[in-house]
Amino acid sequence: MLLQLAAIGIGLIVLFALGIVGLILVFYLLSIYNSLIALKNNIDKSWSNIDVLLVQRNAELTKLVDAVKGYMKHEKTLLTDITKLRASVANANGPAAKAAASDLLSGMLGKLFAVAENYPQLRASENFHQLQGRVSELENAIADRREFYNDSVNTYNIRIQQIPDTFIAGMMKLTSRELFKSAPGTAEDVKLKFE
Amino acid sequence: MDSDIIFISLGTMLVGGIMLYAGFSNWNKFKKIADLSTSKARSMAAGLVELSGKVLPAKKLVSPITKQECTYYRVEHQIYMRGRRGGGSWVTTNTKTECENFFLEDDTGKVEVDPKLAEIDIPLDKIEYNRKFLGAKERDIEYVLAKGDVAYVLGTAKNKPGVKTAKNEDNFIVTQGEGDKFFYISDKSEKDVRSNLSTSAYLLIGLGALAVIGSFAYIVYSFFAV
Repeated sequence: MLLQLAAIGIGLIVLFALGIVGLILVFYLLSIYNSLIALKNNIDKSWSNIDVLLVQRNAELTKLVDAVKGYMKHEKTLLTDITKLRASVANANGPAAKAAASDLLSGMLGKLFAVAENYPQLRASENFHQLQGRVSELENAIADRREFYNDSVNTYNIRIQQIPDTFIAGMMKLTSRELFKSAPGTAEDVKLKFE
Repeated sequence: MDSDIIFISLGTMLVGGIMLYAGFSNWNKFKKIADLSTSKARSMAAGLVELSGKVLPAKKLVSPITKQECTYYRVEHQIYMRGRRGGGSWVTTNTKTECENFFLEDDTGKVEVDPKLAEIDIPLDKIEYNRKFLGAKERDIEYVLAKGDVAYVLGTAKNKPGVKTAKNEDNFIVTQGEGDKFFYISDKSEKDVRSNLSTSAYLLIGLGALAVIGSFAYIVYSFFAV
């Protein structure tokens, strides 16, 4: 009788301890699930935040090209290239393709601002200075948000491959995401399409 | 069955439960910090943001004990209470807190922070044993978030009402969010904040679980021992 009571007592304690350990385990698994959802949403949000700036930059570029074409009559090719690349950025699908087109456009913009130094009348234009400042601000902001996006993707890609997160990520069918970085060959593809 | 011991066991179980809850809460905070990348002041977007930079007070505020120019201070007045069996502990009898908005400046720009509803995690700056009243030991402890301190901020960036310019510095204020209430300010680095939170989460969950299981085991043992 005494032994039976002791066994019941021990059984109750073990059951209770298992319950507590189970509770901690459930909490831990839920926290991994929530964390993966948060990381995935962070990436989507930071991608939208880059896209907003790319659209803003495209709008400013239209104004910039309109403002300079009267002065830079001998740079028709450069201005046409910028207009074409602007369309390439807007039409590119996925982060790598968009990054490649965006990098080429940034390079062309650097060229445009360097060439503008040869046109004193253009340099004296208040409108040009304002647009140049605005485009440079947007370029800096895009660079910052690109860094933020790539950080978020990197954290997510590492987490979905680490144990134990990888098991839950597998059940959630989460896959690696693309960095906002021109992948090898992508820049050449954009160049070819653009030419 | 000794009713005193049972009450103590139930008390321990309750404390263990509270420790478990605090541990889970710290773990959630740790995850939130670990999952979010650091934004730059000039390019951050609205919503939950993590920032790091130098503290620049928006208004002049001076801490009462160390006389530092700061954006936040807390002074706790404590008296030493002697225990019945010798020894004793410091008990806080009065707390004074003051804070003002500040700008957080990183290498790209600055953004305004309203720290009123933030959980502020800073180490104490000074203990001043100032007086003895009728033989009682008293002291003041000061915590300061001073001008020039490098701070870590995780909060919600909101648009300032009626302002719409191209500059983040004018557009945004970091404060507590409506949906996500987590708003945390510390003068430790992100790495230290994460390490402190995860360590305390492990300890609280481990000790909490032990306290709950141990006290339950003791209650069951007392019940069957009768």
